[in-house]
Amino acid sequence: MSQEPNTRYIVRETVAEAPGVSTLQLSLSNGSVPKYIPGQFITVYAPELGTPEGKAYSISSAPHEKTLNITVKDMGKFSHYLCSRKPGDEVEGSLPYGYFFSESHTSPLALICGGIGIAPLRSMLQAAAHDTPRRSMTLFCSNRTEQDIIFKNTLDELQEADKNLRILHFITRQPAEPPMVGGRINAKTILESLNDKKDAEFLLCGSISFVRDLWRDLRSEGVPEEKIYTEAFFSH
Amino acid sequence: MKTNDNLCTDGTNWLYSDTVKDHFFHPRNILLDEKNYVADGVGVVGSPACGDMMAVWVKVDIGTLRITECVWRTFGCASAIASTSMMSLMATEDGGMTLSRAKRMTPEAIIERLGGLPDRKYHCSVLGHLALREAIQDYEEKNVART
Repeated sequence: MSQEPNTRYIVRETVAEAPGVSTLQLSLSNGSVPKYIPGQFITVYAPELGTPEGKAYSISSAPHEKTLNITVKDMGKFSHYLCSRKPGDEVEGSLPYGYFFSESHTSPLALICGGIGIAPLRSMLQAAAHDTPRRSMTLFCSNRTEQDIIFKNTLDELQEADKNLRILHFITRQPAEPPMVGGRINAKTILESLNDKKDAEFLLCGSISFVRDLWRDLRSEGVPEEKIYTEAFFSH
Repeated sequence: MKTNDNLCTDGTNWLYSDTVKDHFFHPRNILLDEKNYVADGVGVVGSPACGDMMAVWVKVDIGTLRITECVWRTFGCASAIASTSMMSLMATEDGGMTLSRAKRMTPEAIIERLGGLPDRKYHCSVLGHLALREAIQDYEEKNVART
């Protein structure tokens, strides 16, 4: 029952990340944050909206950062409510939960996201830069337009600082200027871009259709099921 | 007989595949009364007050670390029943999955074996997957505690 509404978070700051996308920086009332593993989520509750069930939001911060952040795309009643929270407001939620993470600390990682699916991957990238900077990681990041890229400055800084991190941006709805790539991500491109395909693990995050299609595509290219982790988002 | 197994493979319509219907009407490995069932690991996710609830019990061969039994019960819809039934089958077929392999079972793999699920029912397959992960974690924590 780890997703129960047993934790009160205080909104410390809100940050506009991209059009319609905000990060809520949260902590407990004493200023601390609960322990978590990059890739986990919290379930947020807002019974005042008439929805007793909670909605899951991936944590976008890394454990060494001062706040526990969730990054929310304003696309429905619930997410709009969250995006309109102000510093000092309370948010009812669960403790961090979930299993979207590799148990290895050394395997090369292919992180693959569409849009807001970057949220848990930012957590992994920040944590790796802090804890395991030698780990080989490649981020494949798909967005409709360049303006939609979430955490663009952070991603640029991470890539600049870590030669073992490679970031490839895919733009699907406007002409892409190199080094950005035009069109959708596909398994062939992912596999051709990896130096160590054999030991790599693949973490997919995005909409249900994005994750399903890439999961199938990777499987059809011979990637074993047990090498693929998935986290699919639904609209709230 | 004509099959409709590919009707909802793209997740956009509401037609259930024959496999989903089969697992809903004939769920495998369901446990109706756990009173006398001794499990090695238990996982419970969700809440009846908030919608779906899922409980999974596993038995594990201590020598091979393979799942020998995976039983479950849910307060959930047809999709939750079908996906957890399929999950329990996948976990135990061919001599049982190793714990490390079962931890990597994804909702996508379960949905693929079901011949697809409507996107709006995706979360139903997540419930069984999470309950299995919790049951494995419960087993591993108990066994670390014993050693």
